[in-house]
Amino acid sequence: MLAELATTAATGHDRAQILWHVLDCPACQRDLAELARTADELLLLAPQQRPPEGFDLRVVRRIQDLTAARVPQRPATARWRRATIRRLFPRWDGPAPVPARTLRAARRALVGAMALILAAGIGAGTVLWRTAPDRQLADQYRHGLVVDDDQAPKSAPVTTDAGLVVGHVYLFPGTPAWILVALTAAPQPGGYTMSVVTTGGVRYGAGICQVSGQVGTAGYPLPVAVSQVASIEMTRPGIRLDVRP
Amino acid sequence: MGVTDDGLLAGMAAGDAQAASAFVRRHQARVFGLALTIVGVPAVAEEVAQEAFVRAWRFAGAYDPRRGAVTTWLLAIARNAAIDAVRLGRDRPYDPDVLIDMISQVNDGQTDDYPEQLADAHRIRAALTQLPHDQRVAVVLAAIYGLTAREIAEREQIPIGTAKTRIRLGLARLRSQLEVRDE
Repeated sequence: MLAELATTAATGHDRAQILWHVLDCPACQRDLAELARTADELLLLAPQQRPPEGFDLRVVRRIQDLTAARVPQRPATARWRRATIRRLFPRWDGPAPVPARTLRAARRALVGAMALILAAGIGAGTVLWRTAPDRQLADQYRHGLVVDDDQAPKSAPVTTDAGLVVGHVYLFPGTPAWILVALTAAPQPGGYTMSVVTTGGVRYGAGICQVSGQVGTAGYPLPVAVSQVASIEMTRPGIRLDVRP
Repeated sequence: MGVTDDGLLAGMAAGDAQAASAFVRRHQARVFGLALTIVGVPAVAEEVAQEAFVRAWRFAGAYDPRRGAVTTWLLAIARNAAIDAVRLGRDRPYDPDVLIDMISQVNDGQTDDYPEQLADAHRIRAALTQLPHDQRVAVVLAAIYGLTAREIAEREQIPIGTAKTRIRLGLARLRSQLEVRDE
């Protein structure tokens, strides 16, 4: 299965299973790194093609626009912060420090709509939204096997109120930091809304983990550094799961 | 050759427009070519290629030269961006034979400012052609086009286990052959 991960051929659940094992297996880490390098080298075979005139100027202009958008060094308001993150991660619905009641209602409606679309499996855009961060996460992991200790991925169990372990969460440092949730024995199927609580007590929305049967995986960028994550909550009506990294 | 790829990438990450422009010009043909190979539509390929460079700028701090060359790192970013785009139109038919023929051809008509990269491409192409056809197709569809094992199985009308085996054996053989040639 390492070859599937190295070539991005592994799907979400398989990918989570592989990562779960690889995290604790130095031999597989080495194998995965070598296979990934081999797979990436194949990209050199794609024929070169000159892009349309002015391509480089358009790229530089885009980067300059994004740089300019970063100029306000300190986000003055939650609205500014959300707008900036949405600009940087246009397909990601967050972060959202605990919003006003109206925003919560709107968010719940959006979450519900997304869950329906996901369950129906008919939203190509949703597939894009779900698979892109997942793939980027795996890619980041593939390329992040050789890291300093303080940059190493962290993992933590997902537990029920009764202390039963129902899955694991993996936190990957980087820019941005990433989170991968893998539930293997979820109490109920459906969408679990994830929230990240920082060491400073601020709560951010962190996406939804869709569970089919008892199994579900989801990958999202984190709105804060891994070191700032105090806990993660996963909730759906009547159920609350906790993670303490 | 002037400034190294690493140097230009660092300059781009630091906001140096000249470095960014030089970095883009140096790699734009490879990135656009890969994007066009995957998405098949020039306008979409340009958008994908632009996005790849923006992602490279954004994540430049995560690049580690110990893990591989800037070129392959950048192309992996471009592949991911292209896969994201093509997911919206997954019903587009793939023709692996055309693809295999294309990448199996000697790169005669192309020039490359970096002879070592051209040599790498020849070396990889030679190793790829040593694989059995089925494995070659599976590896290329997975590694370049980003198809999952299930998608390859559906496309090739084979059991998913067979698709996984072809990917695994093909990539392992490719790695072995490249290792032998590296020694």
